[in-house]
Amino acid sequence: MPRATILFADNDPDFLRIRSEFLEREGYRVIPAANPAEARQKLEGERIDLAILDIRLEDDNDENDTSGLVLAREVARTVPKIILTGFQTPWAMRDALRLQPDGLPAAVDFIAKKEGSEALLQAVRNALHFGPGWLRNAIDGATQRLERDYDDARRQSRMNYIASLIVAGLGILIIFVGAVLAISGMVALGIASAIGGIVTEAVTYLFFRRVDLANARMDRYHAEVLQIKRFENLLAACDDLSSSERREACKEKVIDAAAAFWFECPGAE
Amino acid sequence: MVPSPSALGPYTFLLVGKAPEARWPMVLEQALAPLGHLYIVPEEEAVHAVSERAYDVVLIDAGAVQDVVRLMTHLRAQQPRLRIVVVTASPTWQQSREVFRAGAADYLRKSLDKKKLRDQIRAVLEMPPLPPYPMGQE
Repeated sequence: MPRATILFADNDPDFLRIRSEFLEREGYRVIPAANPAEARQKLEGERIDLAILDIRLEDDNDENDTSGLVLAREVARTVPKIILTGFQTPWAMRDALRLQPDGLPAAVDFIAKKEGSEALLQAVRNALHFGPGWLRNAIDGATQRLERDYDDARRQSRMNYIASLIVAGLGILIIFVGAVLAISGMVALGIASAIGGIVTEAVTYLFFRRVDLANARMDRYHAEVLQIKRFENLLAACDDLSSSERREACKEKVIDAAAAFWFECPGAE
Repeated sequence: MVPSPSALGPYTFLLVGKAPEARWPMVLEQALAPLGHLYIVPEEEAVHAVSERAYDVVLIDAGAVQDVVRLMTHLRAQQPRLRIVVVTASPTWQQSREVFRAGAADYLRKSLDKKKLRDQIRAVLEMPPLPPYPMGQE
């Protein structure tokens, strides 16, 4: 599995170096940043899995400095962020962890510097578990399971179809033999053979039922593929709109509607 | 089946806390009156209340319950996307983090300013849907 890349922004060079070295020893690739501008540039320009941002990135002595939090709110919204602080107030925590209008919090966790490196490491592990990397892995895993299930349904359909053809042929043959025996004077044996043939045909029906069930499973997958195609077409139609504002608003509506349809909360009406 | 929360109001609110005759619940009730109706239950009746009805926002008075996070977990087990606001007279950094990690929509100081209270709860009503699991927690 590739190493996760962490952007670590802090204006205290010693703290930045010590914590970066610690995280590198734990197996992460760390990109350091010493100020908000540098952090912004790297968040926008590089592939970052997680950002750790000191809340006072400009001036530790300015209690109004929340530049790290501002950065978390404004830049690379899908990158999970951890806010670090040397000054613990519940209201900074609230600003960081409360949901923003786009449905994501500014940060996924908030750690005090004095809580130490182990607390930071635990927060990093949690954030990476629930961040986009985790989401990607979950989607990949689900896709693989669906593909396996689809292949299994197709194989079952094919095997049962072949089996049903063979058994149907066999049943007809047994009935035919029974009829020949009956005509030849072996009436009892002929009737028994015909009954055997009819039972064999009943077994054929069971195989056909299994073919039917496997086909129904595949039909459900085809319906899902159709839904996804419709979703892609709607998004493509949004791209044809003239202004970027209308494009974004259109995409938001499509995604909201699709999310409401696909991720409907269990238990909700 | 739990009835759906109201889409456009009037909204229904639940306060888990002390008796309605206490001062702050009365202030809250008056503050929220223009938005909808406030029900008040003690801690031991909270889970049952949430299983019976879909509230738009549940407020937990942190000073009136034994274990806020545990209660939140039980309430969200009933309704995974329930909007829970924790209110307290003495906010702390640690408690703030615990309740947000457990999926709180907001963490507020108990205020006697009715307009401020109403605006804060209105902001919670306008929030996007909450994720169905506590963020940042295993």
